[in-house]
Amino acid sequence: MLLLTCAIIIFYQIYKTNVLKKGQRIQAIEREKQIAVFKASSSSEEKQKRRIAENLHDEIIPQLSVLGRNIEQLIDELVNTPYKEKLLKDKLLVEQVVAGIKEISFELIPKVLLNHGLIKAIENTVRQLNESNGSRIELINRTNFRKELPFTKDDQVQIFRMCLELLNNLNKHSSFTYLRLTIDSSDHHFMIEFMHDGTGITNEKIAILSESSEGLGLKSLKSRQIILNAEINYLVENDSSKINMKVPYYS
Amino acid sequence: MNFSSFYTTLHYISIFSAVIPFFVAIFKIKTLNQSLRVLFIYLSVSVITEFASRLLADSYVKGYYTVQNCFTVLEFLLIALIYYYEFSSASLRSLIKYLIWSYASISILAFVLLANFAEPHNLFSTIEACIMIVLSITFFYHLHKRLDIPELNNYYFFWINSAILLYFSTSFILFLFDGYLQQCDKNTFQLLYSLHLLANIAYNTLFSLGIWKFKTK
Repeated sequence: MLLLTCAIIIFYQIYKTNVLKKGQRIQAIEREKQIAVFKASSSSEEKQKRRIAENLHDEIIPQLSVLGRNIEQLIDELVNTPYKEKLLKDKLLVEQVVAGIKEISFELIPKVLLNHGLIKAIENTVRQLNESNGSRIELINRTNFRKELPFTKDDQVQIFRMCLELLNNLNKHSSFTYLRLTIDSSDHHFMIEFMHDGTGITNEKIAILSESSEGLGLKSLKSRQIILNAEINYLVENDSSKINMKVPYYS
Repeated sequence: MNFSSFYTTLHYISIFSAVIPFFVAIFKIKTLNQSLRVLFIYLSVSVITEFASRLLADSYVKGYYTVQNCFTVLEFLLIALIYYYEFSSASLRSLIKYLIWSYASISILAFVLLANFAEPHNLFSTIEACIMIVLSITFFYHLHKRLDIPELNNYYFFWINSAILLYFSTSFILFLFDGYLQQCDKNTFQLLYSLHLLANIAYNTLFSLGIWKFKTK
C-alpha cells in the first residue's frame, strides 16, 4: 500500500512536470506564429512602401521637375512683366514640393540603407537631424562593419526603423541637448546605445505606454523587437539616460 | 490497549468511514455528473452492505456471505460503469461494456448453477480486483497521454481513481491468499486483515475528497 502511494505521488510529479513542458511548447509555438504574422505583415508593409516610393520617384517627381523647368522657361521669356515675381514664387513652391516628396520617399524606403548598408543609413539620418534642429547628435561606430552586416536586408530595414522610432521619440519627448549613439558588436549581438542628457524613461513606464492605445509607435517597435528577437532596455541614471538596443545575429 | 482492541476499533472506523463519502455525495447531489451519480449509488449500496455484513457476521453467516457475494457483483458493475462514463475513447467504452455483460452473466450463472451465493467464493473478488487495477492504471495512462488537466490535485477523478487503485491492489493480495487467512491464527488474521481495513478507510477518504473536489463547469 505504501509502495502504491509512493507510485501515485511519483505519477503526480511526473504529470506536473510534463504539463509544464507542454505549456512551454505551446507558448513557443504561439510565439513562432506571432513572429510569422509580424514578419508577413512587416514584409507586406515594406512592399507597399517600396511601391509608393517608386511611384513617387518615377512618376510624380519627374513631372514636378518638368513643371519646375517649364516655369523657369516662362520666367526667362517673361522678363519685364508683373508675373515674373509670382512665377519665381511658384518655382520655389515646386522645388519645395519636390524636396518634400523626396523626403517622404526616403522615409518610405531608405535607399541609402539598400545601397550602402545600415551603418551608412544611420550616419545619414544623424547628419540630417543635426542639420535640421539645434541639438547635437554624435555617432560612434565601434564595429568593423562598414557596408556589409551579418543581417539580411529586411532585418537591416527593421533595425533602421527601430532606430528611427527611438530617435523620433527622443526628439519629441526627452528634450535632450546632447545625444550619443554608440554602435557596437559582440560575438552574438549587434548593439546600439542611445545616451542622452534629457528626460529619461524606465522599462516599467514603457510597458504601460505600450499597452495603452496612445503608444502606436511603441507597439510597432515591440513587433519589430519580436521579429528580430531583440532586447531594448530603458535606463535612467543620475546624470544621463540610456536606451540599449541589442539584436542577436541569428533571430 | 492490545492489538485485538485496536483491531476492533479499526474495524468500526472502517465501517463508519463508508458513511463519509455518502454524506459528501448527498451534500453535492445536485451538482454531480453522470459518473458521480453512479458513484453515489455505489456508496449507498456500500453503506448498506457494511452495516448489514456487520450485523450478519456473528449471527447468520450464510446471510453474510450472500450479502458479500451480491455486493461483489454489484460493486464491479457500478465501478465499471463509472469508468465507462469517464473514458472518452470509444474502444475502451465498448470493452468496458463487454466486461460488464461478461462479468455479470458469468458470475450470476456460476453462483446459480455451479456454486452457491451463501458460500464464500473469492474467485470473482480476485477477478474483479484485477480488472479494477487494470482500469485504474489505464486511466492514469490516458491522463498522462492527454496532459489536459492543468492542476491534477484539483481534478476529482484523480482522487477517485487513486482510491480504486489503492484499495483493489491491497485487496487483490488478500483475496488471493484468502484460503491462508481462513486457516491462520486469530492474531495473524487480524494483523493481515487490518491492512484491508486501512485500505478501506483510505478508499472512503479519497472518495470523499474526490467528490468534494468536483466542480461543475
